[in-house]
Amino acid sequence: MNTQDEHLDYILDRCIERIAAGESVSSCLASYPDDRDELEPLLRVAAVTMRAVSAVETNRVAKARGLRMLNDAVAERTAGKRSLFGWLSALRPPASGRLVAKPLLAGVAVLVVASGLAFGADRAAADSVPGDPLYWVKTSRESLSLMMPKSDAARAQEHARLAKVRSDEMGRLVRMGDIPAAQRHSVTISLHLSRSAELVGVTMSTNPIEMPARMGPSARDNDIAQLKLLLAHDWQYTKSLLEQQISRLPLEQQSALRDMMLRQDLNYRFLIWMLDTAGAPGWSPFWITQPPGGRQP
Amino acid sequence: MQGETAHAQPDALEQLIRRAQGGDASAFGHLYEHFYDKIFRYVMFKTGDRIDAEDITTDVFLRMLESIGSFKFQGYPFSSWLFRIAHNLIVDHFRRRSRRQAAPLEDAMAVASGSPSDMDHKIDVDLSVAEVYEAMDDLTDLQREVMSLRFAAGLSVRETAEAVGRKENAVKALQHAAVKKLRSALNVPAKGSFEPASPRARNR
Repeated sequence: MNTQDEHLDYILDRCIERIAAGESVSSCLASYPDDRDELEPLLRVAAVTMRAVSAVETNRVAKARGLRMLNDAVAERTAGKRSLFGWLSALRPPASGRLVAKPLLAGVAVLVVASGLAFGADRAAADSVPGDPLYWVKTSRESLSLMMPKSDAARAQEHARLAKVRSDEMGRLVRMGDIPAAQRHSVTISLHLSRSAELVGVTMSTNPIEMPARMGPSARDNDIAQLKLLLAHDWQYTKSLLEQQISRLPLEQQSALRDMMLRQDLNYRFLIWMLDTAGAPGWSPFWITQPPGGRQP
Repeated sequence: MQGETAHAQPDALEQLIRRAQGGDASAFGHLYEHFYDKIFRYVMFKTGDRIDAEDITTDVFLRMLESIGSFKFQGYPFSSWLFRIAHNLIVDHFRRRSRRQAAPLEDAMAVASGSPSDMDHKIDVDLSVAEVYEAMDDLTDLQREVMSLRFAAGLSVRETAEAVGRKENAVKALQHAAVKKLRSALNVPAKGSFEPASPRARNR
């Protein structure tokens, strides 16, 4: 590379910085009159490229959603660290100064290594969707998590969380163009939501006219309120996730997605509404007390 | 295009990173706010798809959360480190998809066509993001990477150099060559009048 090229590299870069900072092309050219002929067309291209690229704006909803996910992950990580250190504190040398038995430490080390390997596969599986080789790792982990002893309220929230995980996967499947798989997922989401309701004491029926939803004796206001909040948040999330996909699909697939969206919308709305009203005095299905708009006499 | 090094408060950024490394939850939020737009534009520029760009940008910050403990202040800018993560995720993304999206930049074009020019009102040339993106296809991978980091993400030459693993002079040369290629691909006239654009043209 000769000196003239290096000189041009340098002044082009200087001008690009100045234009990015808000200066005009003309004022930059004025600073380098000897190089104007060569510099001018390059700066024009650089300026229009910058202008075109800077016109791409971020979506506030997506940005807020990303921040929420980051905050959730930070909270999860912090909680995980706390419990890990709490557990490890049991292995600290006692006040007398005697160390914990070596075999126990070796066992712990083996467990840590094995968990590390499992954790690696688990992380890799986190973004998988049905059909991916590691999807079974993800679902096995979920099944294990559901089998762990915990309160009904916690299990209800776990099912609500899994409904959201399935919604995420459904969104990915739609993006990949696998609409049938996404439709199958829609059914799984309904099952998770029903189970979630049952666990806080609300029984949902497949035929709500013959057997309306009812509140069981174990239902607790606090658990129901928490679940309602969670579901309301997830409902908005799922809706916006799927809405983003519609315009990107071919026309013939758009109606299938709309159908899925409607089903999810009904699932969430119905469950939230039932948590709100099941067991309340004078309760009856909403289609009897509130006929759909436009059909009122 | 000031970059992190020319940022008004580089010390503040360093403190933020150290706080995040110490597990301070709010520091992650501040880092997210600080870098989100840059990362998004960079990813958008490279993928050409808004939804993918949003997903990948979110993943960049989740990956940052996992790995921030490994970042060391040894003259390597944090932004370069973060954009390396973004670059790797984009590579993974394309590897998974194995082909580029069929209909890129629809959303971007919609935004671009309606936005007022605030860069240089005297330039009588207006290009859509799609045209620029198409012209980018003529560049080499490295040239495209440099242009994405410099023009879309707004990194400084130094940060770009660190991110792509080249010397600053090499980055300047790559930038120069890329702009030259873009010029012929975009067919921008060699000489322009630089007169103010007509109101009609500006309102386009």
